[in-house]
Amino acid sequence: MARGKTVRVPTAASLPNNLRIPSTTPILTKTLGRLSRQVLIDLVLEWLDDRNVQSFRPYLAQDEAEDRDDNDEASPYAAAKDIEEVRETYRELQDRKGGKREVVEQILDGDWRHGITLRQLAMVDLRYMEDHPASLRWTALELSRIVAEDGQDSSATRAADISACVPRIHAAMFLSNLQREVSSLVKAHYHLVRSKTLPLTFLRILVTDSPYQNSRSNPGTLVDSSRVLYVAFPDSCPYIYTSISSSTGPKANPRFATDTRTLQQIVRDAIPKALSQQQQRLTLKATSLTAKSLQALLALRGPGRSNAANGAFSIFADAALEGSPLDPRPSHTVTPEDFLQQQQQQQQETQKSNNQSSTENTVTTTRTNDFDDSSDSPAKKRRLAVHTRFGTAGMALSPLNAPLDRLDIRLLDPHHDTPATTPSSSHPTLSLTFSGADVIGGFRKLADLGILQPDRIPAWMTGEEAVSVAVVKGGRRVPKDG
Amino acid sequence: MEELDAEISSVRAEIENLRKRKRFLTSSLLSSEPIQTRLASAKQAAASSAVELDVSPLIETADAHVSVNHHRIAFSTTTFPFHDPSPHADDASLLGVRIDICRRTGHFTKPYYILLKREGNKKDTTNRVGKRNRDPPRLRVHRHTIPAFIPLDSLAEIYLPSQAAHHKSSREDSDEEELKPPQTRKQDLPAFVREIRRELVAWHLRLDAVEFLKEELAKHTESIPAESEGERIVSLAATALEARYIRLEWADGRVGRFKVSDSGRVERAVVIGDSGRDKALEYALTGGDARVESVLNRLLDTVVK
Repeated sequence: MARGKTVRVPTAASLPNNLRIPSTTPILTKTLGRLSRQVLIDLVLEWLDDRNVQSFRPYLAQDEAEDRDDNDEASPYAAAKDIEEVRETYRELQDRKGGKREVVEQILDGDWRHGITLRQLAMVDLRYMEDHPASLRWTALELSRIVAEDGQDSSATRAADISACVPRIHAAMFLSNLQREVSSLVKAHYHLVRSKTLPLTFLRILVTDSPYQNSRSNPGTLVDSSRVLYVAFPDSCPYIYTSISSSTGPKANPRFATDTRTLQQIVRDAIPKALSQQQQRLTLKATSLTAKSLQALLALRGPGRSNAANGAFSIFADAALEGSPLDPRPSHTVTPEDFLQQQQQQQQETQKSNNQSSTENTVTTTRTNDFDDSSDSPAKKRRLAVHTRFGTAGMALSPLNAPLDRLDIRLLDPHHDTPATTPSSSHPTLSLTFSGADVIGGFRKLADLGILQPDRIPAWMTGEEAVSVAVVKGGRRVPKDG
Repeated sequence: MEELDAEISSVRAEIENLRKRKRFLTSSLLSSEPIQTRLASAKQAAASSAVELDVSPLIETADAHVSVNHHRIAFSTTTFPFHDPSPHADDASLLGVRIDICRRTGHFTKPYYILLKREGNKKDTTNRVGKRNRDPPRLRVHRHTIPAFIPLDSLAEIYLPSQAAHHKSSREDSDEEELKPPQTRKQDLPAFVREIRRELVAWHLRLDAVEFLKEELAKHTESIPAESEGERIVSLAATALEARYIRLEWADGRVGRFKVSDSGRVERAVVIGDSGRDKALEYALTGGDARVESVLNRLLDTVVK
């Protein structure tokens, strides 16, 4: 069967979902191998689901019959007769114990020996990300309106401002806009998916190359994780999160470069343009927050209550200061833990999952009503002081727990020993970097142990500023533009 | 051994629950009307006879707490002072505004808070003290727990215009600034809080409406005749957290969405099926009294009629 030679024409279209990467590409084994056996099998069964199977067709016996003459070497995996047989294979693997290697081989050498599509690859990556929420560093950016230079807003646009402070994002529209913006410079594959666990929509963009270069000669570039960038759109708030950690604002590129960073930069710059509508141009502003945990970003730059109430003010965000107006207990006799527990229990009741065990777990057994007794022990005083400064930040029970894994602080205060009377001398600055699983929680623990003095530490140590990068002078954060 | 541990922990939990209940009942009792009136009369009697009255501080605070609660229930928006604990704050005293909103179920939501800070530097402070009666302190929003989709910033810009912005705009007549009061727009805190509360209440009413419609949906599906199975609504949900748009999905694959206005009317609606727009359903959605609560009844009328 002599097929006509494929004619390749350069196009500005995005890379198609069904573009297959040869399953012999060595890096594919590694990519699939990142998932656990159970997750991998789940994913394969999702591919084989009736709704999806057309897009992810496995290799069947009929394909084998067609290919026989140009592929002589026999595969150790017999091709399945129909899709039900393929499903059965993976259900068997699911029931059986074993390594994940056999599953990976079954996929690459067996049922998808004709190649893994870009969409499948994107699904593998996103599944890995959902299972490993801390695998990427996310930067929160704010979508803000570009106001006309003269600053003379008519009252009509003012009114429009009020009703639509959050840009509406229609996924398909946004993608086509984005494609229009970048297609002349970047060849990319887009995959848009709703997160299963968080109120987010993920966009995975695989930036392969500029359309002027032939990418298909090297399929490895389609799997290269450094070419992938993620954008997450949280619900109902004017922020987006990206996995690119470069500085904001378009950088002037003196000459045309096609390295991955530049291409990613082009895509990133196109995002606000693609989100803009007529009479409503948007731009991205840095918000000084980068963290590994999406949970933290959602708490600090999300749709909820805690964007502008952290540290000492987190008692307001968690409503741990006082109960509802129907609560007869004076608020100072109730510990914030009780308020939080009460809220959790109410949530559980509304979710109608009030099984006995879960309520037992939330009850702290060690805590007695020590808010009532008037013992003035230093430990209790310190605990109160810590609570005053940190609020509920860094408390395990708080639903708005936002672990920062890194905190960069630049202190602009003049050193104590240098006399301040010499203005000519350069101001020495001190840069501090804290890193760990939960930096603010760590500060709280140190304060609990009496190593930090809770009443004297600056506000940025209590997480009040809700940033991961800050310039500090006189204990207060200096705004970037100021 | 494990059994014993489980038993101990369950008994502990029971004790904790009972203790909480006791505290709850104590405070209810202390703040109840009869106790408080008797206390008041006892106080009067004590005042006239000059006898030292020994009242537990618990009872005193119960009274104060009840009055705060009554204010919160009756006025929905209340203020309170708050002290910024940061040692580096230039002005530690903050004005807190608390907004309590009652849901459809009779529960109150978590209160929403706005903490306002006095604006201005030291020089302004001395000025202000001098003519306190004429110039109320200028405020700006310091911290708040208002969700991001409520346009707090733009409302603050309108109702709480800042001094700094004014200075920038009126730089040319800075010479006269010392002589005559600056022509700044007045800050209007009550209007600001009123607008914020209006947005919050409208949001909660929309949420309540979605919940109500979801409950009604069960009844609705029952009354759909068997022959028009395609008219059954299979899903109804708000498209986003702010619940301004509600998305509908019918059994035959049609999808629709409508916008709910702040006053609870269906403002705009669109229904699209395989063969294009379904104008009849769109009219049904926006027609009649256009109330969001009766949307399902109007849809049912188009099916049964």
